[in-house]
Amino acid sequence: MDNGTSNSASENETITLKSCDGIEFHIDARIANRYTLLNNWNGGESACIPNVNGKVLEKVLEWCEHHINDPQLNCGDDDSRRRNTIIEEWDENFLSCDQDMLFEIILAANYLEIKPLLDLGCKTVANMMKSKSPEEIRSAFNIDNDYTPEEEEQFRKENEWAEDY
Amino acid sequence: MLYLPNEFFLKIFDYLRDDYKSLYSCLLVNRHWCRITVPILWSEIANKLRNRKLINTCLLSLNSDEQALIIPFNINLPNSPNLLFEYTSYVTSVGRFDDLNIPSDNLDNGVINWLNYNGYEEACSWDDWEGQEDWEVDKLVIAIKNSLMTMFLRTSKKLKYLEISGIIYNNVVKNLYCKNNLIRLNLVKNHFDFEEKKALIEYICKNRTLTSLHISYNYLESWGGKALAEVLYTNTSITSLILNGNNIGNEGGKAFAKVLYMNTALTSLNLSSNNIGDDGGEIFAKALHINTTLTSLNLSCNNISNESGKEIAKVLHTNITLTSLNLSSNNIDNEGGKAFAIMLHINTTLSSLILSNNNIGNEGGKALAKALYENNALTNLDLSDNQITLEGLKAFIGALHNNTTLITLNLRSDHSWYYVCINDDRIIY
Repeated sequence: MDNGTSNSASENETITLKSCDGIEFHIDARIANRYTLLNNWNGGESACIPNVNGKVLEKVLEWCEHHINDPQLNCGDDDSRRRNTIIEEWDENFLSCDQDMLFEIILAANYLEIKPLLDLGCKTVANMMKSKSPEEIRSAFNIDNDYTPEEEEQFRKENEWAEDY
Repeated sequence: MLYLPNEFFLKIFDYLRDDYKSLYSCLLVNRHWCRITVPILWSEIANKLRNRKLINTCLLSLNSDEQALIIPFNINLPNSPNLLFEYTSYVTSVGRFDDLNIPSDNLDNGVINWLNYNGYEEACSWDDWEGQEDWEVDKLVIAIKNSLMTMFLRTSKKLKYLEISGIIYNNVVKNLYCKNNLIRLNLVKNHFDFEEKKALIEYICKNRTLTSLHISYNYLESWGGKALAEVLYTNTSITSLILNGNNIGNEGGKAFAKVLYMNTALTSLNLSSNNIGDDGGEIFAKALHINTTLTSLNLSCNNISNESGKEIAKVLHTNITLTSLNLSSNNIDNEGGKAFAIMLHINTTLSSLILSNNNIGNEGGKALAKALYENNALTNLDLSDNQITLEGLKAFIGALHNNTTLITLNLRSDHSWYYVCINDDRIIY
């Protein structure tokens, strides 16, 4: 039962969260305890979350619930985490949503200070850029090319060494 | 479509930090992405300096003064419109730092690759340089390297790790002055003149960020050794100092030993091949009575004989900080060996002892083997090239059946070669 986390809340305790568009979610109090910002609002049994709509909040909470028993990460190992772009299967499926939703989740995770989800979201976007040509990246992210042809050619030349790795 | 603010892209691209090819693609997506990726892509080029294309872009960064260093050689430097970024301003590391024991050859190879590609007469590769004094081999390579190094020192404001090797022209060191963030500085086989050496020592004196300083084969001589030792009286940041092959001599050696009375930052000191001599060694022994921070000391190849060898062994009866001692290639014989054996009965902190290439012989060897029955701190003992024969080896085999801490034992010598497996996978060489 006790999985080593410092959660004081028991499994049965629930808290009500309300999204900016008024949708209510009843969540396990341990989730709220786990993440700083949610924890700060844990004054009463319900809290309102501006900036995050119901659709996104539902996804975010689904992720939190799935990861409720994960060990807490210490923040010191940023460097080693950065090098690691491997994503667990469940998380990969979870984030294989449309791009707007993915970006919304990243923004919400940042706003709610859910660092592992923020990292995961950024990592997913990074993986979407891997081994792609500039043109492929532009179309994947719907970005316009604002280089002049001469400029693009010069950037290409000045940085072409990087292509060898 | 939804767009993420910059801070998120910084984080996203950071995951691609080691993936140069993908970063390159991102850089070419549009102007906005370019501004975010260029600083990341260029921050860690240290291991890519052998790439001729990278060298080409770096050569485009030379200013007229730096180009002037190459003009006498009639080289056509690349010329194209001004660079779109001052790329080298983002560089944090020049040189290779993954393995201290391998000299950095990336920049040399990069310059050679660039020359060969551009059709200049065969510049010899680093491999052919073996056994030659490298500064004599190819003045052109050195001139280009020198101008690039001067450029890096001028433009790379964020430099943390810097390695300069095989430079003969001057004016490199004086550009060190504005480098206030350096953490690690390696200077290997450079031919600085007197003024440059003085400037270098002054720089080190003023610097407060360096933690690792490596000056090998730079001919600092006695005065340079003493001046550098002087710096260490007040310096509190340098924890690792390698100063091998500088001929600092007896006077220089003594100056460093005296520093150890006062300095409490240094944990690792390597003064190998400096002709420090016997009485120099003795002063180190005295210093180790007082010093409680140094964990690693290398005095190999310094003409240290029995007398000071014994003193050093003796101080380790009480010194409980030193974990690694290297006295290889000195003149320690069986008397000295026995002194180290007595020490090993008492000392409980030393984990690595290197006494290779001395004259310890079977008698000293047997005493050391006996000490291993009691010692349970030592994990590495190197007694290679000490005239220890089968007789001595037998003593060690017996000892190893009782000692469970020693992991490597080296008894190899020119005349004989043993290879014995102990029952628990440990190996004696």
